[in-house]
Amino acid sequence: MNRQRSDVWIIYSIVVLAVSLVMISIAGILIASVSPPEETEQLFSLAHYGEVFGNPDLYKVIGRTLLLGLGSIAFMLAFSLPISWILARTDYKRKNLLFSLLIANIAIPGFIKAMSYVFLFNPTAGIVNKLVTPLVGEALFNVYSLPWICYLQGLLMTPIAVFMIYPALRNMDGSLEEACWTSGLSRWQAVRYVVFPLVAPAIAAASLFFFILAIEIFDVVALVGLPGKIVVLSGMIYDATHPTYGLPNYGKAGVLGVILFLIAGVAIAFYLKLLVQAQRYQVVGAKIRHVQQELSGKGKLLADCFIGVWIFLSFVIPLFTLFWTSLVPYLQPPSLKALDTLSFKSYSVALAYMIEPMKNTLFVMVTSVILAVVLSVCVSWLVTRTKSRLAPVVEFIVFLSIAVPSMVSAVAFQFIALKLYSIIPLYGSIVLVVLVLASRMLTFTTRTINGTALQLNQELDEAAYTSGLSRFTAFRKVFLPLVTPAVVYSAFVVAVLAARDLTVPLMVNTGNKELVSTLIYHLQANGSYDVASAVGFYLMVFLLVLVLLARRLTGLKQL
Amino acid sequence: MLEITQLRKTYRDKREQVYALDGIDLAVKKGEFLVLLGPSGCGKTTTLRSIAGLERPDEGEITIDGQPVYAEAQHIFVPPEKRPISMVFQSYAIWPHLSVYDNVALPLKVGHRRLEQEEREKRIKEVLALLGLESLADRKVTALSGGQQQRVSLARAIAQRPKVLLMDEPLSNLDYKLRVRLRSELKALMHQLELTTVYVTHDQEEALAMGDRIAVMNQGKLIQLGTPRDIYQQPLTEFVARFIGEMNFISGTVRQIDQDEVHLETALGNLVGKVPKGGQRPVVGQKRTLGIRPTDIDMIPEQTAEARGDQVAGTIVSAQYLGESIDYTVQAGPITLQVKTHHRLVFQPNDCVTLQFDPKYAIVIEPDDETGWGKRHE
Ligand SMILES: Nc1ncnc2c1ncn2[C@@H]1O[C@H](COP(=O)(O)OP(=O)(O)O)[C@@H](O)[C@H]1O
Ligand SMILES: [Mg+2]
Repeated sequence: MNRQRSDVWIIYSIVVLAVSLVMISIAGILIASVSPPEETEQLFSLAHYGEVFGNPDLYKVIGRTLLLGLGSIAFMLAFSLPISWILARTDYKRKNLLFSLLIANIAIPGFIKAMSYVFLFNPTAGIVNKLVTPLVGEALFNVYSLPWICYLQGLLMTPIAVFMIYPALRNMDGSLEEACWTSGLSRWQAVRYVVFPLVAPAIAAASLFFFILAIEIFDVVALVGLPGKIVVLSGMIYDATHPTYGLPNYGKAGVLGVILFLIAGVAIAFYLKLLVQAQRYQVVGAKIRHVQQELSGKGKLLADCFIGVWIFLSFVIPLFTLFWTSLVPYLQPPSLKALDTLSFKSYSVALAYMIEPMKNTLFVMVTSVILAVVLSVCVSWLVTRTKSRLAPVVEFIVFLSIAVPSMVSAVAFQFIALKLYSIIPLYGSIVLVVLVLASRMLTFTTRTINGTALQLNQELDEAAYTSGLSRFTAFRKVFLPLVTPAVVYSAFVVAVLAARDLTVPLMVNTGNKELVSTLIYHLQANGSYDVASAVGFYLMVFLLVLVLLARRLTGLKQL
Repeated sequence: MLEITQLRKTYRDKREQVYALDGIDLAVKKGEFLVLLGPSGCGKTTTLRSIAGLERPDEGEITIDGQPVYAEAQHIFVPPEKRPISMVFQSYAIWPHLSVYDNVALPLKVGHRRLEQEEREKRIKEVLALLGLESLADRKVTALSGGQQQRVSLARAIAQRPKVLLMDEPLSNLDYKLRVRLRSELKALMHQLELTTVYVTHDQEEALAMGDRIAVMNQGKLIQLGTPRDIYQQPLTEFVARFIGEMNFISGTVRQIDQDEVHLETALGNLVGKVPKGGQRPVVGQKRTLGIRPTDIDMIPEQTAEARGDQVAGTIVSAQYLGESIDYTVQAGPITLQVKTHHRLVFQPNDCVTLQFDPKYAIVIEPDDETGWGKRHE
C-alpha cells in the first residue's frame, strides 16, 4: 500500500512542476518589473515603471501594438474564413488537395515567408523595387511598414487558423440552415440571419486567440519591424534585453512584459466568454447533419481563383524568391547578366554552417516535446481522472499560460535564471529555450490530451482498480495507452512549432549557440542572402518530412 | 394537394448503389393527415426531404396544389424557400440564438413568406396563443424543455401557413407519456387549421392513432396505402401485418373459392379467410398464407363435443401475464400460435384448449419475398 502511494506521487510532483513553470512565468515578470536598478540597495522599486510610463511614446507604441493585432487578424480572417467555408460547407471538388496544401504550408515558417517578402519588396534593394524603379522612377513598395507586418502575420497564421475555424463551421447543425430554407429564407438570408450569428462567437474566439499570437510573436517584427523602425511592444522588449551596448535591462523588459501580459489577459477573458457562448449554441439538436452547398459554375471559379491567389502568396512567392536568391550572390532581379552568376555554391556552404545549429534545434525539439508531453499527460490525468479538489485549480493555472506571451516568459525565465545563477547556472543556456517553449505549449498539449481523456469512460479506471491495479499501474496500463493518439499528435505539433520558432531563441540569450532559425535570421541580417535562403530550404524540407510523417501517423489524412 | 409520381433516388455508397426511393407514387388530399410509416432506413426521410426540396431525386415528379415543384423530365426543381411548404425537423432545428418569438417571427420578417408588420404581429400572437407559448415568448429557446422546443418548432412551421406541412418524427425525442398526449393534440390542431400534413414516423402505434391514412413503406417502396383500420385489419402483405402489430401466419394451398371466402388446406386442416381489400384473388391450387391476429383467435377450454370445422385443438406452452391481457403460446399440431386473451381467461401450461378462427378476421395473402411485397406471380 505504501509503495503504491509513493508511485502516484511521481505524477503529482510532475503536476507541481507544470504549475510552477506557469507560475514562474507570471511571478518572474512581476518580480522583474519591480526589481530595483543596479546601484540601489532597495528590495523593490517602481523605478522601471517610472521609466517606461515616463516615455511619451509608450502610448503610441501600445496603440500600434493593438493595431498590429487587429490588422493581423483582419488579414488572417480574409484568408482563412473563405478557405474554411469552402472546406466545411461546400461541395468543392479539390478539398483533399487544399487540405494537403494547408498542412504543407505549416512547413514554411512564418519568418521565412517574411524574409522572402523582404527580399522582394524592401525599398532599397528589393528585387521587385529594382525592377520597377527604372520604369516609374522610384521604389513602389516599402515592406517596412505596419500594414505589411499585419499582412505577413495574417499569412503566417492562416493554415493554423483554418484548422481552428473549420470545425466551428462544420459542426453547426445543418438542419438549422435547412430550417431557414423550408421557412422561405434564401441562401443569403440563411447565412445572414442564422449561420453567421451562430458561428460568429466561435470565429470571434479564434480571432482573440490569434490576436494574442499576433502581438506576441516576434518572427515577423524581427525581420520587418526592427529594420523598418516600427516600434511595437515585442520589439521594445527585445531592444531592452538586447541592447547594442551595456547589459540587458530586465526591469524595463519586465514592465513592458506586464503590459503585454495585461493586454493578453483581457483578450483571454473575452475569449473565455465567447467560448462559453459558442458552446451554448451547440446544445440544441441531437444529431448533426452536415450540409454541403452545391457550388454553381461561378462559385467554383471563384473558389478556384481565391485558392489560386492564396497559393501564389503563400507558396509561389516565398519558394521562388528563396530559390532565386539562393542561386545569386546578392539581391537582383532575374536578368541575362544574373544568369551568368548562377551557382549552387550556397547549398554546400549552408550545410557546413548548419551542422551545429541543427544539433541544437534537434535538442530543443526533442526536449521540449518530452517536457510538454510528460507535463500535460500528468496534468490531464489529474484533471480528468481524479476527483481531487486541486484539479480545477491546476486546470485553471495551466490554462492561464495561454495569456503569457512567449516574449513575457522568455524575460521572466531569464530574469530568474540570472538571479539564481550562483545556485543553478542556467542563464545563457539553451535549456531556457526549452523551458519557455514547453511552458508556452502547455495549454495546447493539455487541452488536446484532455479532449481525448474526457471521452474515456470513468468506469475504465474503476475496472482497473477493482481488478487490483494500483492507481499508478492503472495510469500506465490503462490511461497512457488510451491517450496515446492525442499524445502523438501533440508531440508532432510541438516538434514542428519548436523547429520553426524564431521568437523564443531570438529572445533568449544562448551565448553563441545558434538554432537553425536564428542562423537564418543572422545570415540575412548580415547580408548573406544566398546562404540564408539555402538554409531556409533545408529547414523547410526537414519540416515537410516531419509534417508528412505526422499526417501519416496521426490519421490526419483527410477531413 | 400533393402528388408524387414515380419518385426515384439512389445514393452511391462506395460504388454500391442504394435505392433510397424506388418508384414512389402517392397523392395526398387537401386537409388530409397522411402518415408515412416504415422501419428505419426505408426512405421516409428521403421522401419528405424530396417534397421539401432539400433533396433532389433522380427521377419523377412532385406537384403541390397543381404546381409542379419538381419534374426531372422538364428540368424543374423549385428550391425549398420557394415551395409552399414548411417543415418540422426531428431535431426541431430551432435557431438557438433567437428567442421563442423571434424564431416564429424570422420567416415572416425576411424571405419569401414575409408579411406586413401589422399582419405579422397578429399572426405570431395567434400562433403563440394556439400553442400555449405566449408566456415563453421572450425566453431563450436553449432554456426550454424538449416538449417546449417541439412546440416552438411547430409554431414556426404553422405560422407560415404552408399548403403542405412536413413533419419528420417530431415526437421521437420526447418521453413516452408526453408523446402519447401530444399525438391527439397535434392531430386535432392540424384538423382545426385544415392543414395538409405529411407526417413521418417509424412508430406504428403513433401512425394508427394519428393518420387519416397511412402509407407503409419498405426498402424504398410504398407497400400499402389506406386508413388505419384497413392497414390493421386488411394488410396486403406479411410485412405490413407484422409491422403493424402481431399476426399468426399459416401457409396452405387454395382448395375452393366461394365469392370472397377462400378455403385453404393447411397443417391445421381446412381454414377459411378473406382476401383483403385490394389484394390479389387467388386461383385454386395456388399457395397462400392465412393470417390472423392473436386477438382474433378465440380460445376455450377443450371441447368435449365434436369439433366444428373451424375449430382446432391445441396445448398451452407458456403464458405471459401483461396485466390487461395475457399472451399465450399455443402448440397446435406442427404450428406454434400466439393468442392474446382477456386477463380473466386463465390457462395453465399443458392445458388442452380449443381454438376458434373467425373467418371474418382471417385474411388470405400472398407469401412474402424479402422486400415485403407478396410474390406477384408463381
Ligand atoms: N446522404 C446519404 N448518403 C448515402 N445513403 C443515404 C443518405 N441518406 C440516406 N441514405 C440511405 O437511404 C436509405 C433511406 O434513408 P432515410 O430516408 O433516411 O430512411 P428513414 O428516414 O426511413 O429511416 C437508407 O438506406 C439510408 O442509408
Ligand atoms: Mg428518418
